Amino acid sequence: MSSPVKPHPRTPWQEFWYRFRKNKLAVGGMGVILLYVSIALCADLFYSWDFIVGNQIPNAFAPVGTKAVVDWGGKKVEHLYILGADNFGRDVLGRMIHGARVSMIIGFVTIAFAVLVGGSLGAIAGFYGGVLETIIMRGADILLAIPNMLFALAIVAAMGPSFQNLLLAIGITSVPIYVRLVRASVLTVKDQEFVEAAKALGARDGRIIVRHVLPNCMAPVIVQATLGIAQSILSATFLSFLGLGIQPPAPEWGNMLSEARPYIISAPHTLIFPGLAIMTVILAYNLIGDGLRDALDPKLRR
Amino acid sequence: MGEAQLSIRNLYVEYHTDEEVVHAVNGISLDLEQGESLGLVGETGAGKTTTALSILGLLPKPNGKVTSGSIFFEGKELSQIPEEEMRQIRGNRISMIFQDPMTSLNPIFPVGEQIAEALEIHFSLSKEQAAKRTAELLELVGIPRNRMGEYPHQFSGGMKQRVVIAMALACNPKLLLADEPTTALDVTIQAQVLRMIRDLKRRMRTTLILISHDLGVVAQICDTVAIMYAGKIMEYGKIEDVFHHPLHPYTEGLFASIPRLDRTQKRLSSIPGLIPDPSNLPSGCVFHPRCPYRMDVCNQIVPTTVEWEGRKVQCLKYQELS
Amino acid sequence: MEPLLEVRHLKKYFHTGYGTLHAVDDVSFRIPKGSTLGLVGESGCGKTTTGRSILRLIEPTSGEVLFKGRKVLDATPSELRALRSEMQIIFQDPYSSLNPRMTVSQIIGEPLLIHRRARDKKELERKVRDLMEKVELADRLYGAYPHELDGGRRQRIGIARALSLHPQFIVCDEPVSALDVSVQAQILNLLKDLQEELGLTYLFITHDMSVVKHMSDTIAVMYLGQIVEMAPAEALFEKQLHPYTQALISAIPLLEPGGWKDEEVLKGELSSPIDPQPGCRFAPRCPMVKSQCTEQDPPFVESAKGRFSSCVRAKEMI
Repeated sequence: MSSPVKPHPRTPWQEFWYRFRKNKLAVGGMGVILLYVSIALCADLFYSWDFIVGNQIPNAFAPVGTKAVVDWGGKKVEHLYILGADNFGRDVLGRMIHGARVSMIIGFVTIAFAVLVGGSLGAIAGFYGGVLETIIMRGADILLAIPNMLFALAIVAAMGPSFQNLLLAIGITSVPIYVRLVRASVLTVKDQEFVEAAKALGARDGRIIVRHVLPNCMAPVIVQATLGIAQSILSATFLSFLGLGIQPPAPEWGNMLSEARPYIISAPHTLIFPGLAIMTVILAYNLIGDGLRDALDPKLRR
Repeated sequence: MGEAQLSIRNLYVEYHTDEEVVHAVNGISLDLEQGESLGLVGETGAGKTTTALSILGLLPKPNGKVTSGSIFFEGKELSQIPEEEMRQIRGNRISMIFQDPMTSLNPIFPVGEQIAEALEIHFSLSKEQAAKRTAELLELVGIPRNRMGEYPHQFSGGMKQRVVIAMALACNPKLLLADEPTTALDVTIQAQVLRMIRDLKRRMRTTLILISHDLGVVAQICDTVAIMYAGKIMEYGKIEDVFHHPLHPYTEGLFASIPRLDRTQKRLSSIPGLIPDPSNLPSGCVFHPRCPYRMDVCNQIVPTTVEWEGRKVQCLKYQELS
Repeated sequence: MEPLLEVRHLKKYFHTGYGTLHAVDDVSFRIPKGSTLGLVGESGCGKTTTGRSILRLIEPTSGEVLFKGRKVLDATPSELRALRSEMQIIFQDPYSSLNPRMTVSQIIGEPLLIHRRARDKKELERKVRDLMEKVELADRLYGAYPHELDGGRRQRIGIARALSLHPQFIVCDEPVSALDVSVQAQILNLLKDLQEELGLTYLFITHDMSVVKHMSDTIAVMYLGQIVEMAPAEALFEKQLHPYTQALISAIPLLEPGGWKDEEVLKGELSSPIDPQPGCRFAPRCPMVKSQCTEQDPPFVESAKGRFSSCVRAKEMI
C-alpha cells in the first residue's frame, strides 16, 4: 500500500522498539534479564567472593532465613542466611549471585564468539559462493552432525575442565548454526536490487557486505542469538553439573545443583533456588527471543 | 431492463490497525444488471479490491469491517445471511479470479482435481461426472482435456490463469469478480486471455466486475465503467461516454497521463501530487488537493453524486445541474 | 555521428539443468549521444540481461561493448569502477532497489562517498540537497527512510542516486512499471527533462509499448534473446517489418472502447531459448511462416532505410 510520509518519521530502531514494547511477556523477560545482569555486575557489593567460597561447617544446611554466627576473617559475625546454607554452610543466595555472573558471562561471550566467527564465515560463503562456500558449509555440516553436548564434553574432557575451555567448547559448538543462518540470509539479500545498485555505483565488496548485506541479515541472527544465550547457559550448567565446567568451590548454578543433589530430601532449599534461577533465566531469554522474532519479522509489517 | 442483480448501497469499509484507521471504501453505490460487465478502475489504494472482497464477505479478519451500507445480491442482503449460506453463494453463485495465477492454484494437486473439487463440493457430483465437466471447462478456456492430470508448475503463466478462470466458472456463477486478471501476463498472452473472457461473457451471460488499473483492458471488455479514487466512485457511466467525454477532473487527468499510441506528445500531462493517505483523507472533495479546477469551496463541501442520462459524477463543478 | 555506446554481438548464456539458455544471443546496436534506445519485449526475452551485461553487473559470455570508444568488457576492476561513474542504472522495483536501513540522504550520498566527490560533510550535504531538488524531492525528506515513502518518491531517490556521479549514460530498467499511471507520467516527464538538461543517453528497457513509444528515438524489439526489429519510434508504429512486432502492437488494449475486432490473435506462448534450433525463433508462432524460416537463422539486415528486421519476408511488408 502506498504510504505517504507519516507525520513522525521513525527510524528502524524506533519502529522496532514500538513493536517489541507491545509484547508484554517479552518486556517482562527483558526486565528479568536486566535484573539478573545488574545483580551479577554488583555481586561483590552484596557478598564478597572469599565469604561465599569459605566453609562454615557449623552452619551446614541452615534453613531459609536463619540468623547464625559465622567465622569471618578470624572474627565472629552475625549473618542472615536469606536463602539458607548449603552442605558446607555457605550462603546459597550469595553463591547464586556470584553464579549469575558466571552464567551471564558464559551466555554473552560464547554467543558473541559464535556470531562473530559463524557470521563472518557464513557471510563469506553466501556472498562469494564457489569452492570457499563448499568448504565452509561442509565443515559446518560436519560440526552439526555431532551432538552438541557430546562435542562440548569431548573438548572439555580433552583440554581439561577450566573456565576458558568451557567457553571455548560451548562457543565452538554454537558456531555452525550462525554459519548456516547468515549464509541463508545473505543469499536472499544479495540478489536484491539495492545490492546490485551499490555494485553499479562502483562500491567494493567489503563496503557492499558491511553496509548493504549484513545490516539486512541481522534480524534472524539477533533472534537466534537470544535463544542461543539460553542454550549456552543451559549447556554450561549441564557441564558443570557433570563436573566438567566450573569447579567448586567456585559457584555456578550447575555445580550448585550437583553438590545439592544428595540432599534433595533433607535440604531442598539448596537445590530449589539455583534450579529456579536457571529456569527463570532460560524462560526470560526465550520470551525475549519470541518477542524479537515478532518485532523483527518483516512479514508482519503492514 | 429488470431488477438489479447486484446492488451496493452506500458502502463504507474500514481497516483498523493498532495505529490508525484506514478508510478504504467511503460510501460507494453501484447497480449491476444480469449480464452487465462493469470495469472498476483506479490506482493503488483506490479501494477496488476491498469492494470486491466485501461483496464476497472475505474482508481480512479481524482488521477489515463493513462499517455501514449494504450489498444486495438477487434481492438478498448479503450481510444478513448466515455464514453457512454465504459459503454456498461463494464460489457457486459469485466467484472471484485473483491477480496472481501462481498463488491461486495449489501446487501439489493436478489442476483437474482442483476444478473437480469445487464441483464435488457445490453440486455433489460423482467423480466421473465431475471429471467430465472438468474436461469441458478446460476446453472452454482453451486447454486440451488431456492436460487435466498435470500439475500447476507444468503450465505457463497464461495457461495457469486460464485454469483459474475455468475454476471460477466451474459452478456457472451468476456474478464473476475478476481482480486484475491479466496484470501478471505478457501483452500477447493478455490479449488471448482477454479475448477469451470477452467471448465467455457473451456466451454465458455472466455478470462481470473487472477490476483493473488499465483503462485499455476495461475498454475492450466492459459495458460500463466506474472510476474510483480514495474509496469513492468519482465517475460512472457507459464506457463510450466516459472514455469519449470524461466529466470528472480526475478521470480527465488519468486519461491525459497515459502515453498515447495514436499521437505524439512531447510531455505527458500528469496529475500533480500524490494519492492521499487513506488514514488521513483530505476534507471536502478527496481530490481537491490535486485538482486543476479547484474552487474555494472544494475543501469544505463533500460533493454529492450528480446523476443524469445514465451518468454519475461526484464533483462540485456539476453540482448546479442536479 | 560517433555513438556514445555501441554493443556488438553481445551474448549471455546460462548453463541450466535442462541445457544452455541463450538469454542474450548476438545482440548489436548503437546509441548516439543524447538519444534514447528503447528495448522492448515480453518477459524472458533477455532485455534485462542485455542491460545488466552492458554494465557488467552480469558478466556477458562474449561480445563487445564500446563506451566512448573504450572497451567496457576488457576493463580492469579499477577501470571498471571509474567507468561506472559514467554509466548508471535505474531499477524497476522502487522497493527492493533501496537499502531499507539507510536514509534518503545516505542513499543519495553514498556514491559521492565511494568516489570521494565531496571534501567534507558540508559539501556532501549540499550536493545531496541539490540532487534532491533536481529530482523534485521535498527537502524535508532528507532524513526519511524509504519505507515511509510511496513508489513514485522512492523511484525519484533511485534516479537521484544514479545522477549523483554525473553519468552520461543510464540504463533505465522498467523504471515505471511498478508505478500507478498518474505517478508514471510524473517520472517519465522527469526522465525526459533530465535528458534534455544534462544531455543524457538512455537505454530504456520496458514491456510497455506506449511507454517505449513515448520515450524512445529508436526502438529495438527483442524476442527470445534476439533483436527481431529495430526502427525509429514513429516509423515502427506506422508500419512493422516483422510479424512479431505486428502481433505485439495489435495486442495492446487500446483506449478506444470495443476497439478490438474479432480477428485472430497471436497463438501459442513464449518458450524459453534453451538450446535453440537453427531458424527463426518466432517461426513456431508466426502466421506468415515459410519452409525456409526453420531451416537457417534469418539475417538481421536493413530492409528499408534506417529499418532493420530479421524476417525473411520483411520486404513484402513494406
